[in-house]
Amino acid sequence: MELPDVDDKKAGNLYSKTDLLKAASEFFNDALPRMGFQEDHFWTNIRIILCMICCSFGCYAQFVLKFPKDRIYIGVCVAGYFLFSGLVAFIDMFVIKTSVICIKVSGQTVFVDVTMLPFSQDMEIGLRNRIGPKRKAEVSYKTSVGHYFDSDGYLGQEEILAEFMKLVKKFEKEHSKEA
Amino acid sequence: MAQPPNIRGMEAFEILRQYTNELRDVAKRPRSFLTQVLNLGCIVFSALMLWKGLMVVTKSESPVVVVLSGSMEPGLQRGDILFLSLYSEPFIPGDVVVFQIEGRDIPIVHRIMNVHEKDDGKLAVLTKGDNNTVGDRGLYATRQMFISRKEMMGRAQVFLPHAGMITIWLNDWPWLKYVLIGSMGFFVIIGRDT
Repeated sequence: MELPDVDDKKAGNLYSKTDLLKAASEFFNDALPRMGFQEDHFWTNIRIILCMICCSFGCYAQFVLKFPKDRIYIGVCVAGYFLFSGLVAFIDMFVIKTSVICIKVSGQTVFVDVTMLPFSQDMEIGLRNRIGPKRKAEVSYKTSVGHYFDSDGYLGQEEILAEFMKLVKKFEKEHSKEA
Repeated sequence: MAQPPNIRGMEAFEILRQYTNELRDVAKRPRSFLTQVLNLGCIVFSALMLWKGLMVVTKSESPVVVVLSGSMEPGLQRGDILFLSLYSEPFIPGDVVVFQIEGRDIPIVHRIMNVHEKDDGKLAVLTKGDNNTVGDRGLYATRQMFISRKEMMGRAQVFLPHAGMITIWLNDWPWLKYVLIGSMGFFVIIGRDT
């Protein structure tokens, strides 16, 4: 497996969950498209569109409408804002979750999740796919962050990519079993 | 053991360089940058829409105010938060109201002493702070004897004691406001909002 040409990723603080997840997320976002994995932007596009609608309601209510003359219209904009904002929150909570990138594997849309529980030293990488209510495949691998990061905070790209490719093979095997 | 100033300065420079690099990395990915900007926009608009929502429900242009002076002590202290409403109930003496005189920046929280209503519905209200010895005519505009309905921002319904001290500090030191909001916005953009 050839390593793609990606800049070194460094976690500023090895004790910060945010820094560690950020480094891993940036690596996957840079490396996977260069390795030939096709990105699926469907859900991120939906999210961007919903956020733009929210911001449009907000801008209109804040800068165009005047209180108290347009009180009813302001109320409509506020309701519209929170409705679409709720949809964004729903997508974040139930669809995107902790995904760092969404790719196509064997023609299926797969979310690549990278998570760390609070106060834990383990990082879990997972591949998650939902194709309707009945068909679901999830594979994951959890190990200590020391397996991926050196003492200076640099991400070991070969190690994390090797684990990722094992997960892809496992996912493809599970998917072919289901099919 | 305290670090020498040059080492502290180097660490600060290193952190600044790290954040600058992170901002540059985010800007290299347009989709990710757009997502972060929209996230920041949604955070800002959530607060603004909450405020607008309160305005719609309470019918008051300023549904939440902070008491800035001690003129209403002992009932209301400096730093107390007041929740206002402007429903169509008539104003009566004893009501704690918030009003803003035309041309003045800061609204005033005082109690109604007298209310006069003309046949055409026009209101003339005299107010006074509980802790003041005289009425508010000295605070009104030149030759203004009473305040009218259009100067009323709302009637106090509920108060939260001392919850507004942060607002007073941000008013006393405006640079603190810009530092806090600016740094929060920056961290959202570079993806450190978790």
